[in-house]
Amino acid sequence: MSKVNLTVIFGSGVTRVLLAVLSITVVVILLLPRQTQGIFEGVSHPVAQFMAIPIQTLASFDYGIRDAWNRYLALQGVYEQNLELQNEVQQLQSRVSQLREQIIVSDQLGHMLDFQAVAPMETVAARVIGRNATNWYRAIIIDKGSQHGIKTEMGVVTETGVVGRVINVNPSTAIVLLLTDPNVAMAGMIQRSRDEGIVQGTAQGFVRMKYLPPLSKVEIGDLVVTSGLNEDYPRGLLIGHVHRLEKGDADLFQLAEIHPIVDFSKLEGVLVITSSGQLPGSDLLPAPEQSSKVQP
Amino acid sequence: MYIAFYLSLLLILVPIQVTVLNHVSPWGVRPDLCLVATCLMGFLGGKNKGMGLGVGLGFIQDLFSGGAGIVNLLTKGMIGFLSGLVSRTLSSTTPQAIFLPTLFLSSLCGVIALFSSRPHTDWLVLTHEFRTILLPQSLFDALLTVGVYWLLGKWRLVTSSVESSGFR
Repeated sequence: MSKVNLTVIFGSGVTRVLLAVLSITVVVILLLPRQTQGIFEGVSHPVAQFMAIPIQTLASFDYGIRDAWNRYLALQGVYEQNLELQNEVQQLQSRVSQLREQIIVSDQLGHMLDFQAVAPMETVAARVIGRNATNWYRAIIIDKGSQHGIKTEMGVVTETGVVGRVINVNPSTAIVLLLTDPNVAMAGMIQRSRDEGIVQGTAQGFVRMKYLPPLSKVEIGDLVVTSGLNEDYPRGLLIGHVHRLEKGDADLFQLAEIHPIVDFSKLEGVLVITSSGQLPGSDLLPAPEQSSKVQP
Repeated sequence: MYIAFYLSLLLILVPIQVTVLNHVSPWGVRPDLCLVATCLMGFLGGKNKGMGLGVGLGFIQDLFSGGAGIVNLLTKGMIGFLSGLVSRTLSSTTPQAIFLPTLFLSSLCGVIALFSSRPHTDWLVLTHEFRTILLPQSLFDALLTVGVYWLLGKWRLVTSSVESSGFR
């Protein structure tokens, strides 16, 4: 058997030094993650801040080209009208969902409430400047970061519904994991039946709601909203609607496949929830009978 | 010269990857430009240069990726080193010859990324991810690497013939 010549593999001089430094750094980072986090951030934050400049420049260039294409080359009038109508439909849909939620809470309490207080939240508007740097996460990059008060685990929404959660923050940018990523999970609720469960993304790119009670009367087309159990989202924000139900005879829970209300492929602007409020005690109230469904 | 080239790659590749490349994603999968550049640097410049570029690009990729940690830094550094090693073992580094090594290196990188991004998942999901992301991406990466390598070869041929004909 021939001997393996280690000098061919690991080289000599510079290569060995480089490999040794890299190996030691990696081992130290892996063994002492907390202790090295500060040093790592000290290095990574200035680099991220600097790298945000070419990313934002390219994003502006990209938006500019896309805008020009959309406005001047692709039937200007029809496109704008379509966009306007789509916007209006989305806003109305979102408004209807909010109103339904408000009606439900109002009935539960039995008297008039200031519905603005149901989901009082402070938000920071941000522009989507890019997508995840690899194919392994469904994430977007936004142009607001720790300098603007963004922190990890903050909820991200649009006027239509829930988008995802902040996972990584740099000084002037932040990474938001989308609802469709398997690493995102949040507390959700079927708006009509008031059944709660965990909403989670899947590897296939859709969203499902797990741990629905076996006797739940959830139906296809039911709207799914945030339940408010997560601190990062107020109650009643639209997530999507049920488009498939799954329950085997031996299964303890029902599983609902959800069609997200937000079109993640066309996201251009989002709102990051910097502080969200809850209606005290609203989770303890009895179930209402209001219908909140969309036609599948 | 090398430093300037290295820095310009660091400055350009990740911004292109996160912005413009979104429009070039057949079946929702984008080629990994950083991996392609790292492989090419390894094939053409050797282990040290490949590893150096891989570590730099991986570090920046980690800053703009949903995953926490230094997975890209590690994998890209390793890919740069291995591609340098491969180029030494190949008798002739031709575009055809680098296709399979790049495919293998990209797949290796993908497997590590897959297991780090989906740590608690079942085989069904892993198989799905393998079929829908890992394999197409590896193919894209390998084809792109071969394409760029071929173009670089042509460019070298042109520049050397221009030099030998006395125009420069």
